[in-house]
Amino acid sequence: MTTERTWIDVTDLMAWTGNPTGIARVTSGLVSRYAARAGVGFFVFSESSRTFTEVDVSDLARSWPESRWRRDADAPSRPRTDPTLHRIARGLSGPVRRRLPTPAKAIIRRAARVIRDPLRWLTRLATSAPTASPNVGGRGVSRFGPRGLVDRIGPARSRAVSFGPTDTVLVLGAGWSSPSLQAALADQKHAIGIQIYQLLYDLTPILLPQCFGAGFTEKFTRYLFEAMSISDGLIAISERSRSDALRFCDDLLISPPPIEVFRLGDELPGSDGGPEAIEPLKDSEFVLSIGTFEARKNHLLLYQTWKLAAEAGRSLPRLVIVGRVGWAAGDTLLAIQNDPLVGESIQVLHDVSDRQLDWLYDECIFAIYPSLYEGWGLPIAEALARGKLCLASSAPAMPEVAGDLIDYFSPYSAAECLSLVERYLDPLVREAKANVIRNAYKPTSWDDASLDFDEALGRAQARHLS
Amino acid sequence: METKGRQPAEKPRILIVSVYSIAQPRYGGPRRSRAIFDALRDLGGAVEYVAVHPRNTGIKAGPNDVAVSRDTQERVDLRPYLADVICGEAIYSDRAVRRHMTQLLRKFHPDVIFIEQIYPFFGLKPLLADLDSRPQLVFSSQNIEHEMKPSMYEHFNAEPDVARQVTQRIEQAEQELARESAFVVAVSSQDLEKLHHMGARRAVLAPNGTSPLRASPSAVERHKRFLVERGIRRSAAFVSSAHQPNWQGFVDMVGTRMGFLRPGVALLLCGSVCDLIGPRVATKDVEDVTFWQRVIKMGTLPDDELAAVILSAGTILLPITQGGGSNLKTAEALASGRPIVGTSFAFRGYEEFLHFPGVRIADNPGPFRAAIGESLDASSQARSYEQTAMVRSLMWDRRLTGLVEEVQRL
Repeated sequence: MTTERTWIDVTDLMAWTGNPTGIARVTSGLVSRYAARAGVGFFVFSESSRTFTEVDVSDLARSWPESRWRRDADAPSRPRTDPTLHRIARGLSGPVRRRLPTPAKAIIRRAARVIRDPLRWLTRLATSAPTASPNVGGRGVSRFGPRGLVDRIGPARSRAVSFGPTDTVLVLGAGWSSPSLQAALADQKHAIGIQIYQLLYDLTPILLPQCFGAGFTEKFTRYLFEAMSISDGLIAISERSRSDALRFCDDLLISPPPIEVFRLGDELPGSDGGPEAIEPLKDSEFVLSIGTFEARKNHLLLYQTWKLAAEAGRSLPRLVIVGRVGWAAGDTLLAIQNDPLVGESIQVLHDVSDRQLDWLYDECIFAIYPSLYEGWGLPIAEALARGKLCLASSAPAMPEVAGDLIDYFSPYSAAECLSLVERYLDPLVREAKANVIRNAYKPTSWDDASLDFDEALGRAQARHLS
Repeated sequence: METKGRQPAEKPRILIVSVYSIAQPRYGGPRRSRAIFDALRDLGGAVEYVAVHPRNTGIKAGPNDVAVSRDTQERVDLRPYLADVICGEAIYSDRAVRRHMTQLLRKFHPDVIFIEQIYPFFGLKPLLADLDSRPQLVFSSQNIEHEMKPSMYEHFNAEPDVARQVTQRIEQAEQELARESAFVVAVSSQDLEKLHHMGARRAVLAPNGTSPLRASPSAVERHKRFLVERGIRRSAAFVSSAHQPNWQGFVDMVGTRMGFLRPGVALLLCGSVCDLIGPRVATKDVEDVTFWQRVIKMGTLPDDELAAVILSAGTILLPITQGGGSNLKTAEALASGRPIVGTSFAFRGYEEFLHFPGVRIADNPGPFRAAIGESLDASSQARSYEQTAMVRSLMWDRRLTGLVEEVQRL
């Protein structure tokens, strides 16, 4: 009798360097939950040999370069968790946890974080990278190290994956970074009959090609075309992504697979050591903007907004932009760094730890997110989960995150953005809004997100089989 | 100049004149002309073929063929879409060509001149008058050209006045030659009727045919390797010359949105039609990029390689929506024994094959695309003895029987 297994692609997660953000954060959030389950295997895909190599948690940990691993071993150990909390956190289902009062949920979230060994090592691997490199390997994926991934695992631990006819393959990460992956999966599906389900983030490279480097939109289009063609189902991160994908299928005459939607988590992983202050920002009032520093995230609008205020002689708090450098960001960065009028009032941080991120969220007066297009808008959700206001652009998918809990501005209007920023400089107005958010916004832990993902996957499988 | 007197038992001396070489025929027109040449030669008499063609075509020329002079070639380069008309006129207007043709006519003394398509008639008519030569003429038509040309000229952005005037001249020439010919040859019953209507006294139907398709084992093996290396499990082949209406038929019926094809399926474009297709095939970027995920330009292949592509294909596509005559590709596809997806238009002249095993007919893009998928998925259907005999009737020797008999009556 054939045993049904779920195989998860961790290729791009293994390749990630620096703090897990965006796609890496989502992937690690889900993979860490799957790691504890029976009947789940993980693989990395080799682009050069078009082979699938099985890895498991211990393989992944041991495969990382020794220097990084030792740095983690040298780190101070955390206090052990109360075993009772451990059991509670494990035993409660998502819907039950969602109905608990906020303080109880916070305790359980904390406990769940501490017991989540797989996620901890993933986070350690990610945060212990010596330097965060720009996304030269493509959107959401950093460059591999000097040796290939399978080399790092080592021949003794390299096991070719043997897919079975009832197996399911999940691709949760940046599938476009492996141009041959879809064809290789299609071959397996044809030869063996595996089922393929993939996580769908967004279609931004197709909808906003001007925000990406030469050739990337074509690469992404080819990936999406094949992913849509071979998948038995897709799990989208928003209704907007789902509708964009359906339109893509319609445009190209693809018979669309079932596409279900799940809600992403909004807790920050790996922030257990408590917030870590960033000294130069201590005792100063600042507005926080989180997101890769790239054209799509539209930091240009924030620069123009702060410039507009400065030219009108109006004073704004410091703007702190946090994000690694991505596509087509050079001109904006240059302008910010060299503009004598606003240079002092905008600070760009490229690589902060999750503990520092915790501190930034805690200490900012509010967050702001001016992106031109998003499949979801994770920084909005992360701010709201901390009871912080986040002003956001009215670009697609943003209102799905926060509904009418926050205010929106046109991503093309600095005047509109400035007007909103100035409205919330008043502490009373800001506090009133924050109260509304704290009372109404329901944070989503990664445990909840994982359960939601399971349900969405189940729905997609049922629709596929029906 | 008089044609030589001929005794009743003697075979007629036949000269075939065209604007393309048949030394290595790749496409419909030359293949048909070559088949006619071979059939007439098999009668046992003297048969010669001469093509007046543009310079530097890269196509192998026959022993009598002649390229136009540089001056004439400049006119061709200026308006490539008028190449056939200019080459036909060159028989008289181009001094070097006229000299060559005069020598050939004087040396060979044809009793019968087959004029392949109408174009050589433009120059041949005044030349024969100058030489006072009166051989019997046979208008060997392949299409009703004046009906086809307007859309083609429009596609090539021809000046409207030029297009109109040239089309009128073609129409007048077709009518005149139809009237003056000993008999006319038509490729379809529709064309036959039209030629009668133009005043043809006698007309013979000689539908397009084909030759048995054979590929060497090494060519088949090479093609299989080609497919495996690209992860292609099933392929559909579209074979066409660089004839704009053919490509337009592909765009109209198959389209540029390739999502209807599963991974592992490829459409193989074969022939000089590939030269018509630039890197961009659609105005939408996503269509343009993804088109090449399922489509491969094979280019112009040697006969052996082309046969391997066709014989390995899961289905042959005949998305023909315009043009005259009957489609030679249809005969070739039927003879290959492979499944076919085509329009009913593509089966003009082959109506008896519309319900043949493995033949799917669709005249709208949606059903056409669906038929491609069905055809690729379907298991092969065996042909009965009678059906095999029907395919045998498509071979050139059978298709040209009427034409040969008519020549023997001359």
